[in-house]
Amino acid sequence: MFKYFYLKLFLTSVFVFVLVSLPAEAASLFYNLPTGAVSLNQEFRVDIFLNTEGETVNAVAGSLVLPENGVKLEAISEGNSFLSFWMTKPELKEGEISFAGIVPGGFSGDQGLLFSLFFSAPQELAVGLTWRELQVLAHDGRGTALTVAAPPLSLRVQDLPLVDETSLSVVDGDLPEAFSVHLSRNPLIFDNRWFIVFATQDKIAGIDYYEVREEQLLRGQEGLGEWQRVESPYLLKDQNLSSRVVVRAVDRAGNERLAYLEPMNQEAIRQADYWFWPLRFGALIFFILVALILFICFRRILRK
Amino acid sequence: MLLFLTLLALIIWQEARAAAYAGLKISVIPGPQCYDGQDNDGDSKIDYPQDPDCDSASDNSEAPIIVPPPNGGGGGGGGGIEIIPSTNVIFSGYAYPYNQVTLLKDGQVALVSAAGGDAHFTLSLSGLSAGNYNFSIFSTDIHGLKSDTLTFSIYVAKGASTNISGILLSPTLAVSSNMFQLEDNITLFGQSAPNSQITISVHSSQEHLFQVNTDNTGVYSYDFQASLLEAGDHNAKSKTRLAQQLSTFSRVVNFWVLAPEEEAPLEPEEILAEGDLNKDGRINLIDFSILAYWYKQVSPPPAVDLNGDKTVNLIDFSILAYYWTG
Repeated sequence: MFKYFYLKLFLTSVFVFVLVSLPAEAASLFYNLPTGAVSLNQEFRVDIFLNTEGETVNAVAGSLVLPENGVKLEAISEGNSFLSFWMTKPELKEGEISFAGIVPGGFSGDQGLLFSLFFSAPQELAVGLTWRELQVLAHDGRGTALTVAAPPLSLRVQDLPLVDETSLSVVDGDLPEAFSVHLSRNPLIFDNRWFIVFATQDKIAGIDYYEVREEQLLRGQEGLGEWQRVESPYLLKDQNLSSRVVVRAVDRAGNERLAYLEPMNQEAIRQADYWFWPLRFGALIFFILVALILFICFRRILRK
Repeated sequence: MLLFLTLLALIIWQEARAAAYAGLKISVIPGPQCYDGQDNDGDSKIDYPQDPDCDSASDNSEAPIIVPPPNGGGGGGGGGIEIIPSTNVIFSGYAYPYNQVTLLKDGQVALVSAAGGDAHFTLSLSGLSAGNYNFSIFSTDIHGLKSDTLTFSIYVAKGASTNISGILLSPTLAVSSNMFQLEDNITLFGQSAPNSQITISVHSSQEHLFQVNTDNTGVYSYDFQASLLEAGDHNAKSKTRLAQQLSTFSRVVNFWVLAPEEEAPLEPEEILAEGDLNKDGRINLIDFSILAYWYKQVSPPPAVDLNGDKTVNLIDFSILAYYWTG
């Protein structure tokens, strides 16, 4: 009876070990590539998807390493991504497309779009783009790292006549979504000075950039200010809070949406309004008196 | 045998997941063909006014209009106000009587509405663009306790009306203290829909299940002797059954049962900060922005290091996203 006991024990242990060693949770990346052959200089699109394999995830980060020669990144679009807020919007930096973002409340699905890449290549190539420091964290309140299967992104461009020169530029007639501007200050950042935060999305083309303009409303100092390309959080120049702040969100198709933050310091505006005419009038009287005195003095000097 | 047990566990897990959403219904009423973003008739022209076969955005056919042979008479017709079909999403279900239900759209508060006396709520959001959305719904009960957040990742089609009904928010759950002697009474309480059945699960070395019904205001409470459990740390969670609907589990509460003559532990169990960095009672874009300011920076202030690993990295953002309230 016990003839094969140790063998059975060993096999069972191995089986249990293998079972335990297998990742309990896993997610995987997959790609939507062009269906036909890609010609030289033809722009093509690659969508990068995450399959959470039944798990709920809430934070994803990583870098896609591009080869030094051959492939040219034409554009990146994070429009329609399942990630809602970006710590690092996907962008090309030092030969890598790095990104980091979160989805509050978590996401579970087999086809979660991370972002889309638009490539072209002036020469024949067959490469596999690899991932570096890819992290997918579970929506469990502890940020447990899930194992991720991330196959290389295989791109193949052939020396074929360019048949279709249609641009893949996204047709987007929709404005970025309406959004709000929030004012805050906190000892943890900007030395407790006032700053604003904002975020919106564009489901088709993705947000390209934000601009801010501080419109000074104090009587006598009125000015529209200059549009300035910024990121959230943005430290306000006018710490007196007497300016109207306008934030312009522009999507990658050039559509724009404005959001406003009315001046919080209404008292300063009222005070400026109140003293505007008395001060102007006082200044006028003062200048007239000075001119009169100078005139009288001048006449006396001339008479002498 | 092991394989069988593994398969059995997998099946139970899948069933539990399915049961967690029992009663949920999703229906989509597509938008008119001339406002759905699709080339319905294959003429490479999409929607009004690009497709000449569309009379207006609310025209439900992109197909060419076949003009019948004239048989005299006719005429007339005229203009009018063009109606642009709305792209909207409607959520309905049960929360807690007269309490506020919050709908988040991609992490930002889109709508806040109060549930009725029967805990039923309806939230309708219109004017959306077509695309993928993450909608989250939660409520806060009369004790100020928050429900588990229910998230729906859905694709909203242009011009369509998406209806998600049968939502049943998880009950809230709290415990009368976090430290008990064996002779003490433990009270677990919370709120759900009125006259629903609550199942409380207390985990220790073995699972204890208790059932209790909510009253007309949705409040429930369950007392039991601490000696029913062994000394040590325990956690509890609850879920609601209302007719055929079954909720997800509530947030987990933790408590400790002390052994005879055991003193309360001086070092509390590791507690992760939730991410309310500006202490306004909410975890939202402002907290995210403060955290993002310190992302990968050296020597961040301890207050922004949510898991205490002396760096602000993806894990801190994951914790923030978990406790997000919008």
